[in-house]
Amino acid sequence: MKRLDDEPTKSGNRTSLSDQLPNGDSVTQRSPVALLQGLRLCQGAWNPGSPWDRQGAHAALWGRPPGSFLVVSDSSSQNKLLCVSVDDQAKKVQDFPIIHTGSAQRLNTSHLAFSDLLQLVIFYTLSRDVLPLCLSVPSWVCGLTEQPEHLVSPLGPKAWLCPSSDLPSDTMSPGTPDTQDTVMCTIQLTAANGALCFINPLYLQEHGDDWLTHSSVSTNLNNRPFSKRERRLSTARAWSGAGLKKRTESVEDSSATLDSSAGSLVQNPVSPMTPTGVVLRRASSSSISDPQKRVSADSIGSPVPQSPHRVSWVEDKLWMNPPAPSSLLHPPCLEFDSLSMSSIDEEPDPEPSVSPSNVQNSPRLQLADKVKNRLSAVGQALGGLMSPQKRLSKRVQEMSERKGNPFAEALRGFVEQTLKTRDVCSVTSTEMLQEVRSSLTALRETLYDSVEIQIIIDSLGDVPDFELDTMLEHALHKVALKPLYSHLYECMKTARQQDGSLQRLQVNQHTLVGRSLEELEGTAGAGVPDAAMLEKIQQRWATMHQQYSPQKKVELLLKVCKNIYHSMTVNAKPGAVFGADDFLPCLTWVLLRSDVVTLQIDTDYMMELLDPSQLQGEGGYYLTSLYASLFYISSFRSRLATRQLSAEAQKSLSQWHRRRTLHCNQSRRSRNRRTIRRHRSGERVEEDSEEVNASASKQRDGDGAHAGDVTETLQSLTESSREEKEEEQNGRSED
Amino acid sequence: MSLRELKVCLLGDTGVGKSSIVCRFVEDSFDPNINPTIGASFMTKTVQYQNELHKFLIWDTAGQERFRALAPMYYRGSAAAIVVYDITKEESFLTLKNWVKELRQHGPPNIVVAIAGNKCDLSDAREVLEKDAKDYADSIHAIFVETSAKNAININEIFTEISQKIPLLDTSDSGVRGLKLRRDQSDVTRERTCC
Repeated sequence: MKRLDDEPTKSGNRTSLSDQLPNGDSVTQRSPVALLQGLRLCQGAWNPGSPWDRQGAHAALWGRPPGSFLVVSDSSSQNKLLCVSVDDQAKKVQDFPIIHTGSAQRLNTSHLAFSDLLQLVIFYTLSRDVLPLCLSVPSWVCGLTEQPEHLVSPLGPKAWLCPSSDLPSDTMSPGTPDTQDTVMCTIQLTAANGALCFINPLYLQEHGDDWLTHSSVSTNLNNRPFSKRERRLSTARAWSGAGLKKRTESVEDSSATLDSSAGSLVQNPVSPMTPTGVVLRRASSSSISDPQKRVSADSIGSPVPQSPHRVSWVEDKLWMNPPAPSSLLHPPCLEFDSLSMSSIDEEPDPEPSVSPSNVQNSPRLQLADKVKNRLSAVGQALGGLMSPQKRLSKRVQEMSERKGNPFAEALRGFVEQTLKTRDVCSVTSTEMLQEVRSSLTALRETLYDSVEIQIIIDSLGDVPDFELDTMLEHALHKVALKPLYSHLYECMKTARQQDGSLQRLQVNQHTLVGRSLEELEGTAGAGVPDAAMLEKIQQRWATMHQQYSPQKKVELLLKVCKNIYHSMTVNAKPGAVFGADDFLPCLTWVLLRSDVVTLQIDTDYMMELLDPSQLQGEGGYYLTSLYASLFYISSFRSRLATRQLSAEAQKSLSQWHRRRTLHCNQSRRSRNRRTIRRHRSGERVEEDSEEVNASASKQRDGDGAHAGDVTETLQSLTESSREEKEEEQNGRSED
Repeated sequence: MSLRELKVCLLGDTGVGKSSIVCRFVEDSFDPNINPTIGASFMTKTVQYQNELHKFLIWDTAGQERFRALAPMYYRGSAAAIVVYDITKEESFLTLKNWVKELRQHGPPNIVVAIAGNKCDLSDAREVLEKDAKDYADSIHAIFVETSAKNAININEIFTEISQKIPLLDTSDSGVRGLKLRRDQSDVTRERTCC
């Protein structure tokens, strides 16, 4: 009963949490996998069948704690309705129609689509998106892990909503250590380039682990889902793409997919690590707020707050928060892709019509292969090939938590300062991002100056400077950007709302969305993404938005661009070459069918925060294309209305150019300094370094002047092209 | 041997064969294992020039009139620009002149300009005389070649000439990023004192 009494408090916590994080990055305090499993098992309770309709649901939800919800069929429209109690005081229940489009379901007010209802619901328990608050799930649901189908299925919505409904306590199974010997894939480690891979803990037991330092693999508190998960995996279609054909199986399958990916996460809090002096925030908070977990913890007798918190993945929101819609659907692709150093590897599911059947035929085999692949990756990691990133990230994380450490102090000051800018309206979001970028560069320099980091770097042998930059940058994002990105989004969005640019973007999106590829100046022969591909792209965009690291965002952008290329070439005659003439219109076509507002924010974020050294490469190219395409949409207007707007947009563009050139120089300057320092043999070199600085700043001035010129050119160019555009439009309307 | 990344942007009317030229250049030594890119809009190729490795990062731009205002985003920071026209379309040569003018005025300082008259395999339909184009190129000190992406004529030559015209490694050179491949082990204690 204690457990049930806690419930209202808990949902209160959740609500306030999501209020603090308006971007929807609410923090789940429950193990996502248990939540998913529980929700799946009692779907009959929250998604009751035909006798239940809107009226019935409203009656049942009336006065329930905020976030209580039911999904029922709407007799009038045949659509499903998500009915949510939004205010228990005012006894208010709101309806959110769920729209079924092809193979996807989404709330009619949201752009986020899910392949089944379960994923939709679980997403909204973790992120409110368009809802006034997150959905709330009774805590006992997380306990439904030991196949209590026979117990739960008969439970109806009444039991679901009624806090006093007693669930037999034997469904609340604490951790069952007997499954330990079948545990698999429990650790993610961050490898070079931010890749993630999974390690079988048995492997660690066998072969040791220098980077995890001390203790052996310990009994896992949360490992109860494992035997079940493993079994279900064996019958589940492994990672399937968005274009699944067999809808009848999709609920079971996709939940299993989700389950399996999340399963490895849920173990994280109890990783085989030493607890020395580190507090696992997530686990400790859930031990307070989640009675179920507390019971488990007590029964095993290992106080959760002592769990370690030193591995990078423990805090990684992406992985802690599987409900990110696309990471639900594609997490394995992400991992496997990024196992390689290239962010643009072949994906396992380019052809939706082929892959499901293939995979279904031999799911276990494929899984085995993947585990094997991971193990080989682990082998590399142990051999030191994959571990530098991990070692750096871990060290940076440690340094950031150490009191009195210069880096930690600088970092803390930076985070606090940035969070404070919320109230200062005079600071524009670009200025803020600009400061964030220069702080990141400065923090990176601080890291280079630290002995601890130097030791690691020196032990790596020959690593090109730009790779070191990337690795440190990555480690830095985790400690510096992760606590900030929600806040940054919010500020950016507010600023862009205030200056009206988002509204313009949306209005023009509306105007242009009806245009065909040819009308967008696309060239003949290039195809556009079909519905399934478009859906997949939407999921990628959503995942991209979830990333706090600009590098990771760019990696996802590259995946989207690759998808677009795939669609362009799929029906093309062999040998056709598609360059920017074909790509940019196609990208524009896709953007017009995407959430341009969120994309604009993400683009700003990447443009401002990406490590300058990455701006010239492939990521920089496609980021520029994304920016250009959004700019094309937002500036598409009749001439009179545009002249001023265009001036503003062009100004921001040239300012951006100036800024980034400056940063590039800054970074180049510091690289020079570093290089020189390493070769330094005496005072003379110091002087050289001064000279370099001077010349770099001279160049910066030159670029600044040049940027001003660019504005004018842009201005005149845009105007001239716009005149033509307008003529064209007039011609059309006369027709 | 040091590696230099050279950003090269491609300008020119739509349909003149910008991306075909790049594809031909990149695929002549096509090795799927080496740095494949996701599409022909952005491609890379590394070639050796004297005792340096030049990694060309080739940025294609959309040539449509309507996208022309976006070009500065693409050519900023370029070490070189290849402006392409179609020898069978005089209009594309006029556009080229505008591009050159814009680059001279607003492009990166010291940008190396190369002019490529593409589709020289179609000389029957020629509208732009080679001599006219050559004279124009000379007048602006630009590299000039007539190319055929289709028949692989003069494709590598453009890039070789660009390599030759790129100034020697100089830290203040915009658009050229020098990368050291090897780094000495640093003395940690000294490192500390130097800050």
